Amino acid sequence: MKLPTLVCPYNRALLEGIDRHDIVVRVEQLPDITRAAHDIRSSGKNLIDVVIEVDQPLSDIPIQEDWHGIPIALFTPEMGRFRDIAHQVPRIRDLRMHVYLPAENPENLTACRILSSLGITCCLVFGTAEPDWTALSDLMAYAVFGPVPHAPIEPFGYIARQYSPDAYTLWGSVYYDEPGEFLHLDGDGRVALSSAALLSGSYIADHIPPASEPLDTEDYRQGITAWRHLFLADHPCRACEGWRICMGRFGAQGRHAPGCSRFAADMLTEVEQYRTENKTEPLQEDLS
Amino acid sequence: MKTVIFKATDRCNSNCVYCHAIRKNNPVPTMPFDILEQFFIKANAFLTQWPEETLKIIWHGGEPLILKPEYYYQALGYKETICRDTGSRISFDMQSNLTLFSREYVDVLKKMGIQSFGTSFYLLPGVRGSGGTEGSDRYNRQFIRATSLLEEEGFSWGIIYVVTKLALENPLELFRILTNFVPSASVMFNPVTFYPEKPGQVAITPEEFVDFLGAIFPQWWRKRDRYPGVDPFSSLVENLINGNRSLICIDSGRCADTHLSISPDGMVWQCGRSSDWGLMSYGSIMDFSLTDIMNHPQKDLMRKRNAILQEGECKGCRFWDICHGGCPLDALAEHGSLLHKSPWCWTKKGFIEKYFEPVTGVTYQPSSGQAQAQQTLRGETITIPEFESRPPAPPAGECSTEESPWIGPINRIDDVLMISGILQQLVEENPSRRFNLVNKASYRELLEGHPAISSIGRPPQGTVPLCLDYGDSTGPTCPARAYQAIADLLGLATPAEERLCVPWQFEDDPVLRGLIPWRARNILICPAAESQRARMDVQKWEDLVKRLVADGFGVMQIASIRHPHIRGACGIRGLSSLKQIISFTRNFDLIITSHNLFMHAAQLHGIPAIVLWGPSDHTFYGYEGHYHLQGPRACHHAQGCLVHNQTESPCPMADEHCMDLIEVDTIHQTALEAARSHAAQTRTSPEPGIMEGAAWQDFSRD
Repeated sequence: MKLPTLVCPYNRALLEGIDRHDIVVRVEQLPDITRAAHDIRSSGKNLIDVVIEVDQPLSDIPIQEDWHGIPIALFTPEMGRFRDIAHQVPRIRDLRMHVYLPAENPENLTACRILSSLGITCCLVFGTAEPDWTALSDLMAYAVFGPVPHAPIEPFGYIARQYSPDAYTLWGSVYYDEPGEFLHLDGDGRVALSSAALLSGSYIADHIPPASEPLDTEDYRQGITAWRHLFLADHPCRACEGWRICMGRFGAQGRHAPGCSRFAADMLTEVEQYRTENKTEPLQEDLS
Repeated sequence: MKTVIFKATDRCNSNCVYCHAIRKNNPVPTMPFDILEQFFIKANAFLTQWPEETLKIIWHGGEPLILKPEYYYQALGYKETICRDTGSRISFDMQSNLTLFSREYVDVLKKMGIQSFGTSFYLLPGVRGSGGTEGSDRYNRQFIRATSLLEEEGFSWGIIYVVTKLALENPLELFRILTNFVPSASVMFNPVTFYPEKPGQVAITPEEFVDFLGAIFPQWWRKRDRYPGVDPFSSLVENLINGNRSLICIDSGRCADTHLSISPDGMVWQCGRSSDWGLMSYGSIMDFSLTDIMNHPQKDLMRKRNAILQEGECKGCRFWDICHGGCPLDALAEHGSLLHKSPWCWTKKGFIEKYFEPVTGVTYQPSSGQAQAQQTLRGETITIPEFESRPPAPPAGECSTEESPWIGPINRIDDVLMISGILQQLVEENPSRRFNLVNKASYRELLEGHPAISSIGRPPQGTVPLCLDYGDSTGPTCPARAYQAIADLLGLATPAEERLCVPWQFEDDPVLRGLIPWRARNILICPAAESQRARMDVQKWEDLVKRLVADGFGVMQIASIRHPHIRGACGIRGLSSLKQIISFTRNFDLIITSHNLFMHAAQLHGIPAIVLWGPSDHTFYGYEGHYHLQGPRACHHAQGCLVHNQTESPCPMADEHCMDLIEVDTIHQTALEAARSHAAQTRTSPEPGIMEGAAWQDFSRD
């Protein structure tokens, strides 16, 4: 069985204690991107991504040359003014960077389209507030069916590639938040099943067990089956036509929102059509 | 291929409301290794004898995962050692509730080649689990845990959803929930079936099941590529549109050749449900080979069923080749005979006509022509018993006139002959008088062709059929007799002549006649009754039969196959249709019966009858001219605990059960007297005798 990928803070002592797991490292400062990548790779571990959340728009971030070759997941509140980012586009395209933007800001839907058309992979993040479902639906259609070559717009591209009527479409991986596939550690090595659980202090273990003893505690089992328990409650999501695409993620933190059901149902139809048409050209992973 | 439903255990960690298996109280709850070994010995012999055959063994129960992995390693070991040369033709599958699945099973299951599981699941509380909401909540959580583990270990699973009355409220929502919940969206909807009781709070009718499916089907059809694994829809598309003739067991008409089941004690049965219901057994695996079992006479009867139905109840049905009269076990459970179509016929035919064809726009046309009256089976030509010609049956289904009221459903089969007689009198009064009858398999054949009945089927939505439950017999305003009460409900002026009739000619099956060891004088005993409270103890019957046989009478027992056999009597259970048996009763000199349909049959033929009464009142139901033996009531039910309502609970009076207070000696003496009287007279009714327990009045006749 594949070991889960660990999402952990940039803490040398913590990282040294990790064995055989793939790593997603969270850094707090932009200069730590290079340092963290170097430390992890030089220790022989497999680096999946360096994750950083910033408060400033993408346009204000100084893109560094030594970020080249480092997989970076940049969480930023907005793209910023295009005139400010225009001169950075070629450098960003040279990076292995995915830009994460909050979906509830309508301007970010436009930003995703722009960035994608410029060859920059972007990803929408669904939070507590509702997005503009109509605009989102349009963006989704563009992401899946747009005839002009463009970089992926996640999570739509991921969903379209992964969807199968024979299995669940688990796309939390786009945000390193798929229980069972990712485990989140705090600075002390305590283990949570998601970033939200980590923030709230809902730990399932005090430390990661050795790789030969996979985590299989009752808390772990409860956590990775949490979404299934929704079916035992009288929850509106369980009968939603779009469930198999949404899996409870499009609604605000799993709460059913009025527009999300229609959106998810439409997306499911679009993804099925995509699958039926059997596009031979994959959605372009990276135009850089 | 032979499918063996392998019930290695009847034990289960759950207590689902609709399950029969765990209520069997099998003295051998888990198959011991000697029987398990013997099975593989017989399997090897069978596969050696028939090189083209394969065996698919479906582990079942009870709950198969209540057995530890060691049990399955043992089974695997037997397969590998005993079936060294034939084991490649043995495959395994499993039907499990999954709640006991853990990683310790993974190795042996994979070695057995099991890659997927059939399971059942129920979202509503209190249906599956140990009982109540708490039990089902715990059960569901275990189920979720197990399925998650299962998927991690690379197994797949699909759901058989048993549709009960509880599920009828919102079918489409249920469909969405289930297809969202199961990773492959693989869901099969089956109606819940019960035997012998049908708990009202859970059981459904064929009509309800059809409408349940119909509420889902349009949505499924629009998105059928999304849900390729939903049955019965996907299979019907295959059969009706794509021309695929692969059919599940209940529709194949071939289950006699394809299915077996084995229970923990080594008994071999026709199938899993027949094992649970205690019907259709073929003997022990310890005593017989699989070839012997496949050649069992009862399987021969099953093979004849196709031809009989094609010329009878299913004649002309365009769905014959995808249905074959449905499950023979369901026919047996409903009618006491295999030689009927399933009472669930409407679930296929009705669904296709009402929903499938209109929604898809496809009208199914069978590829084969009219069925043949004779067929060749393994080189033998089988002659089908001739059926008496009868007037053409009125068209079934919803072809009713607006003026004709709907009757039914008739809940007591005992009432059918009275209803027939009343309807006859109504149509004699007014030849244009017509009724429609709500279809029910138990009585359809008895009333089909009645001149007063326009159609037998399902009333249009919104119609309120005439209810023939005639309520409490007490009270000054209530009719004093059941016949009069029904007459009143149907609009026949009372007091009415208590005439019985049937709209068909009596028929005798020469095969059945040939089976009976006739004597100079013959008595038919009918110990069965719809309520167990109306039944006398089996031992008392056996005592009576012993005495009658010693007196030189031939004694025959009629009952459905689910009722116990009375030793000493020649049993003809389950070998004939209801019409045949009613016809057959006229060949007897005397009928001794509990209060049931055969009391009425005796009256129909003018045959003397001794009727045993206890929890119901002979003055209300019984006929003048019969001998009525009334057991004294020690309980507080002065009028009898049944009145008009059947109850399935046993009598709480134990040794003071009224039926068991009737003395065998009394019955015997009455029988001798009745037989003497019948021999001395033409068929005129003797003076009635009313007797209570040990204190009986002597009577004499002119």
